[in-house]
Amino acid sequence: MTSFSRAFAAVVFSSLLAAPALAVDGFSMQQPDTSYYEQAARGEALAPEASMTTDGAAAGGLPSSLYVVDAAGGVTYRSLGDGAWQVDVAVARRPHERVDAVYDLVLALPLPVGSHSNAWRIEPRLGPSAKAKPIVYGGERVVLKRNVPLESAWLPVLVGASEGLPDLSRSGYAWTLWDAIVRYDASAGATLEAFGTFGYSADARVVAPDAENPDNAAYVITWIPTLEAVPPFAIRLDVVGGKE
Amino acid sequence: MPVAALLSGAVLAVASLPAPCGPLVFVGFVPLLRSLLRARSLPLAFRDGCLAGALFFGIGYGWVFQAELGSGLALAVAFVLALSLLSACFGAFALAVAWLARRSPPLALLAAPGLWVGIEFARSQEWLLAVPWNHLGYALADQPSLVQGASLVGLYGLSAWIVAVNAALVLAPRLSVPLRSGLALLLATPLALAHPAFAPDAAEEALVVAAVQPAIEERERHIAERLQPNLRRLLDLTASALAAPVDLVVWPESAWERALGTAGDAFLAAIAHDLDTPLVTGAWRMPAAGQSSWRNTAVLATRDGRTPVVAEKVHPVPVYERAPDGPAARLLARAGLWSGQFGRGEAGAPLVLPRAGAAPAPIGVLVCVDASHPELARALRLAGARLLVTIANEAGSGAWSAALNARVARLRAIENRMPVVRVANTGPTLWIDARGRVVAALPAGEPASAAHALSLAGAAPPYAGIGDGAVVAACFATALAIAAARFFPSRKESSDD
Repeated sequence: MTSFSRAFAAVVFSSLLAAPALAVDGFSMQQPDTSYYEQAARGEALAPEASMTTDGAAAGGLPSSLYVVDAAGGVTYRSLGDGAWQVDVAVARRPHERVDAVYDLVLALPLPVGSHSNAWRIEPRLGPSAKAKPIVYGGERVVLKRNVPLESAWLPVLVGASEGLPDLSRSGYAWTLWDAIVRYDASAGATLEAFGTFGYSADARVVAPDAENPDNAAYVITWIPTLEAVPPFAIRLDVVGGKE
Repeated sequence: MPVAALLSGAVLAVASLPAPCGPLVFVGFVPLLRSLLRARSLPLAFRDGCLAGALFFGIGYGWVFQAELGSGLALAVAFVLALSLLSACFGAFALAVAWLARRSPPLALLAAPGLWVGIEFARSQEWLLAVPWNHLGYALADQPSLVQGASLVGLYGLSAWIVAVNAALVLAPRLSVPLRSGLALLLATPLALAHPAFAPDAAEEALVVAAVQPAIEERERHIAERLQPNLRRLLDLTASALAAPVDLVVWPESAWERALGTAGDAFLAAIAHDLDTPLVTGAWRMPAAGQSSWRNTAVLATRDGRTPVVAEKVHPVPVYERAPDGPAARLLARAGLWSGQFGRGEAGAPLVLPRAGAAPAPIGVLVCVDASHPELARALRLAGARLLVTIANEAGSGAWSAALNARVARLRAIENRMPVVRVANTGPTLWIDARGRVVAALPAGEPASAAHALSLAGAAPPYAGIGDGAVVAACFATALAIAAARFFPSRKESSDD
């Protein structure tokens, strides 16, 4: 771990001590002793100078592993007919991570190879479907935009790596990355939940991912680039069964 | 008591301050030149020049005492050394004028502009002092109507003109009325360039540039504890500047506090992607293969995920910023009197900014003090730049130096007939048009951001083709020719002997 990483880890550690995080995994709503980032940063000393590890520099600062926990909710692929599809991503109510940082909120979502869309955006919403409202966090409406450049840079590092993303190369599906830069909002409350939908078209022969295959899942990643040596925290959302 | 020398030094110093006293440069040299024409001895002339220089540069570089840079005595030692050398340069000028005046006072006055400009140019170069501040021309940059001639002859031509006006005021009583009138008319000619008829081509294309001025104190920058809050402030200010679509967002020098690696920075690219707008920011780049020192750079984060370096600081400030690159510097570094860590960068080409529904816009980028080196801005203009972005951080050197750098930016705009956006950490952040007029500004010293449109540059002015070398060579050659004549006594002088 570099001096900078140690330094920043210590900063995050300090800030989390001041406002202890709630549960880190998706199932417990009870307040644990420490959060993932607290544990990862524990024992690191504060260093005065900013720098980056050689490995991180070579990859543009992108990490090659994730710290994954399962979470309630799921991903559902629905065929609307004539090659039209909709994928629903739901994150059930879960503790707010309370990471006092600017970070990249990344959704890793499998989509059929060669799928098309008119708008590569997913706008997380909250509430009953009919009355759902966009999520405003940190004073801004959160919109996840597909980030093809990030896919080009990060997926080669992450896919197939141990503690990375599963390799989907023989499934007819490929990873897509969607992200939004997020600034921690202390006023967001103790829990968060959201759902989002995305419509796309795909080849008529495409079928929904097999819910029984553990490789098929989506991941919501909290990438804090300034905490370089700590694998980003990610929640795993299972595919919960496609509907034709 | 060398009153004349002290008076000249003081008046020139006041003219150089960031206050509306710039036009005093037109008379600042008069007392000294008058005294040099009747100097009792050459050593005394040299002494008078040194005294004038000590006042001029001592006051003019007084911003050093506002600075929170370097460590320990480094800056104080640098100030004393630089002041001695700069004063000696002024002394050399006075010595040469006095020496020429022994043969002919009018010829000495005629040679004065070339001598001054030669010394001003030399002290700016890497092979001498690399100190490009306090040139006479900058004193007038806040009065753009007076300095449109810079689009013909640049900064050094402007300085020569100012010294020529001083010399003419000394010479005038010796001239007949017709000659006096003719000389006045000649010297007033550059002012005609302020007439709208000489305005640069009004380009129809405009570029909207959002500038972010975070106003982060020097002691709170580039330390681990402040990395996240500083980044948050940049993003908050950026968000407020993006209420309407903009073509480019600019953050100040070294605003990006993550070290830039060899593969760029994916997080910075993600930010540009999130903003859906290209972003230029200052960043420190780790030493590349074969390099031993860091580079102070500007990076363009593109919407398509790249983070290329678009400018490197070519002239890091000696002592506090530049890595020791010579025996003397290394000696000072070992003594703890040289704290710099950045190597000299390479001059770059304009970045090409893609625009929806319009032709790509070539934009030149300079990092901080590089804007004080006119040849760098000119090279970018010649390479096609139609807008110049200068990023700066004067949080450590203080508001005084920031105001001086703002003047510099205005003159670069006039010289190259090219709009300039100066984005400074603590301000003033300025949008400057191709005539050197401030179109919009952010208040200095406080966090702020805004977006404003500037018309892109049209055709390049004559200065871009002529350059400083030709102007300085012409001025200095004139002085040398006059000096050469000193060796050939006139018939009258021979008979007098």
